[in-house]
Amino acid sequence: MLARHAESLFWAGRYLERAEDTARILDATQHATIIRPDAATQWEDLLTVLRINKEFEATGNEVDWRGVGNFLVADPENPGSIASAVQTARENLRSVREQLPSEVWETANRFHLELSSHDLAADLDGEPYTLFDLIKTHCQTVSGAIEQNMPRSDGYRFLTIGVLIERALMTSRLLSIRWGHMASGAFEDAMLTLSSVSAVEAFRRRHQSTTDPVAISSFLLRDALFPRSTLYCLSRAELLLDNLVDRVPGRGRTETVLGRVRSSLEFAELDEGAVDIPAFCAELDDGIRQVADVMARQYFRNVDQVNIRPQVTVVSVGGRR
Amino acid sequence: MTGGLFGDYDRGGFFDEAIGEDGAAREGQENLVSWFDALTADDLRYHSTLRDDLLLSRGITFTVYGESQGIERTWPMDLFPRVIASDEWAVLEQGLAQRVNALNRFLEDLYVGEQAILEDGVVPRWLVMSSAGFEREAFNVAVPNGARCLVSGIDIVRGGDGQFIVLEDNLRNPSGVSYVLENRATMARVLTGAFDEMAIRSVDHYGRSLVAALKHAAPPAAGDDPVVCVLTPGIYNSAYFEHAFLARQMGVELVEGRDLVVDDHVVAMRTTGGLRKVDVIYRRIDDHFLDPAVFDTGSTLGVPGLMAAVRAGTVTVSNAVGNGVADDKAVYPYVPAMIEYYLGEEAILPNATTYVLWDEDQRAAALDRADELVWKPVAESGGYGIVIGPSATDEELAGIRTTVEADPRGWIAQEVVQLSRVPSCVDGGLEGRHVDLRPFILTGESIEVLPGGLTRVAMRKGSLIVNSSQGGGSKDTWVLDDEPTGATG
Repeated sequence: MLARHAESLFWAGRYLERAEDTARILDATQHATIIRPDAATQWEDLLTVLRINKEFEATGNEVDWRGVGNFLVADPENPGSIASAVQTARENLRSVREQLPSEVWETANRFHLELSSHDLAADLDGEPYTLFDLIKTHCQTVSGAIEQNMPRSDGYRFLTIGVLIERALMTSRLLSIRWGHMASGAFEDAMLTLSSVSAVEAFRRRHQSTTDPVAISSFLLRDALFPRSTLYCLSRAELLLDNLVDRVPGRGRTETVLGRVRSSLEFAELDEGAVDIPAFCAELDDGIRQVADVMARQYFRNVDQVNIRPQVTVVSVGGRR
Repeated sequence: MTGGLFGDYDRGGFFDEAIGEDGAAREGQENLVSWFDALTADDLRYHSTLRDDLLLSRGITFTVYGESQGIERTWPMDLFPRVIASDEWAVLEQGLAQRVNALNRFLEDLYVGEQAILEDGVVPRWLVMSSAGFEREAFNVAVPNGARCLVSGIDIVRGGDGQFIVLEDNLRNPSGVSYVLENRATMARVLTGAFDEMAIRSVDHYGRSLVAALKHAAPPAAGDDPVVCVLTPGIYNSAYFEHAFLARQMGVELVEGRDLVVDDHVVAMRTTGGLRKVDVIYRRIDDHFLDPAVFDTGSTLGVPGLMAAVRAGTVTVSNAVGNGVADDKAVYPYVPAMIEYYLGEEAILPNATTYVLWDEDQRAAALDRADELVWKPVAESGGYGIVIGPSATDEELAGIRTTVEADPRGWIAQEVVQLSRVPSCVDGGLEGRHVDLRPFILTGESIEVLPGGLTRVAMRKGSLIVNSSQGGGSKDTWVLDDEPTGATG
């Protein structure tokens, strides 16, 4: 497939996921600060998770619910705000609209139109819960349209890899920030961590009532069944990458880097409590971002491969690739 | 006819495509006319709503350039089809193939031949050399099989006497064929009943024919299965819908300039699997944006080095560069002479009566009757710049006098053709509206004419302007089949 189309789909996936993750994390944080007003430092942390402290400082907003909430939901100047992310995802989908089932474009377009019709600042002042619910529902409608309608071609794979990479990053970043707060073993701190990635129920089913930070971090990083665990995301991305049809034959650099990051996570001795979680997460974060970088070089901007002649002909014999 | 929708239908003194002079349906259209006649105004509105919903949900749109980014509108399609009898079509088909054949020969003669037609004085040399569409970059650039006009759109009208005449040739990037296919698909869904017992020639194979013609035009070195792509300026172009549609119909990639790269005179597209050689580019961008290294250096739509690759013969660009000289409206009056010159045949389809304004006598006579003639700038297309004498203001006519005197080579004048009419849906009833016809002709292994074409209709009462950019609509065009198969296209 065309490299430009692949890249647009990849970024559409990342931005859609970013919008959804931001809504989840904001919803959980806002909820926590209502029941525990002293938890106001969470706003600072949230900006760190999303890696936009500098951009936020430039706005001069107060570091509180109103300031951070507006910045993360409505600010058109913030490319990571939910409104911007949805618009960017929509623009990316629009540029490949002809490659998509019409329902995918239509649901994304409707999402954007609905958000544009809202006075988001007023929504945040009123019942932010309903706004976050609306955002999450729209995100799920779009991803449902993708899952239900999109042929499992390379386009689907690149889009989904975008989703998975963004999700893997969000979970590990969240954990690195929340780790220090959870050390005391306080119930509320454990809950806020889990609810930020909608993991409360899944975690309980696995570990019942424990609030042990080691168990929580192990769960978030590599539970085999939880779809937001970093390992789950990376393993699935690896599988999708392996199944790409249109690629230079053989194992490329992306596959190598991703395999290395995934296995370093899979085989780390997390359960013994001996691992420095923030440092581990920082390394993981670097690794995942490196995957995205080499992927862009290998698949989206592969101009260095001037191999037009002689033409490479891939002849597949039997079941071997 | 009964007292139904056709009860008080008025032919208005024009040639009507559906109703004969006796007031009865023309041969072959009896079922269609009686089917419509039996409808009520409410039925018509119901079918119109069905049509609008379908077009909207399928996203069949076009863009009108205006303020800011341009406005995306739903494609206007009238429910009453335009029907062409099979014997009439046979003549049209032959005439169109003949005309395209001669135009291809003319371009070959100019760019890679002896320019014999200029040497022999059949077409004035200065006229060709002064054409904005005459492209020096096309000199000595061979086109496989001489298929320079790979896709042509020839605009045909029918006057009061029922004679088909050629109004203009479109040999660069004629658009509209996607609407021919979409109109048929839409009609078959919302007016299923009207197709009953009608044998209509199919149009669905166009994508297959187009890709076959493009592959046939590939450089010989490309091998048995050449790689074809469609080159579009991008999503903001007014015909983007069509570019995407054609790429889908052909099963080939739709690329933008930035997706292509030229290395050592070989064109390739950037794919996730690396660079992939391209053999044929069906380009839907104008000559001057194709290659910033040769033409407009500011163009970001094109591909640097593309023309060098074309010249090296590693890639075919269709339609060929430089075709604009043959659809220059000042060259158009010479097309019947070209047909005679190259083919030794008389033109089957005549031109409209046209005055060349660089001739002093013709210019003076034409300007005397400025308010009776149609005035067209020679290098424009899409209906832009046209002034229709009978409906022009005094100010516009004065403007014409000044511009024509200043640039006689830049304009032609034509007699007004009283375009034929077709019953059309207006306010829950049927009224005659003027139409033209743009058939599409492919130069492949042989010359193939898509049955029918795009019928454009001036929906405003009395108007002769059919361009969709100027508020015109369209109709499905049915070419009747002599051997009924029961197929509904």
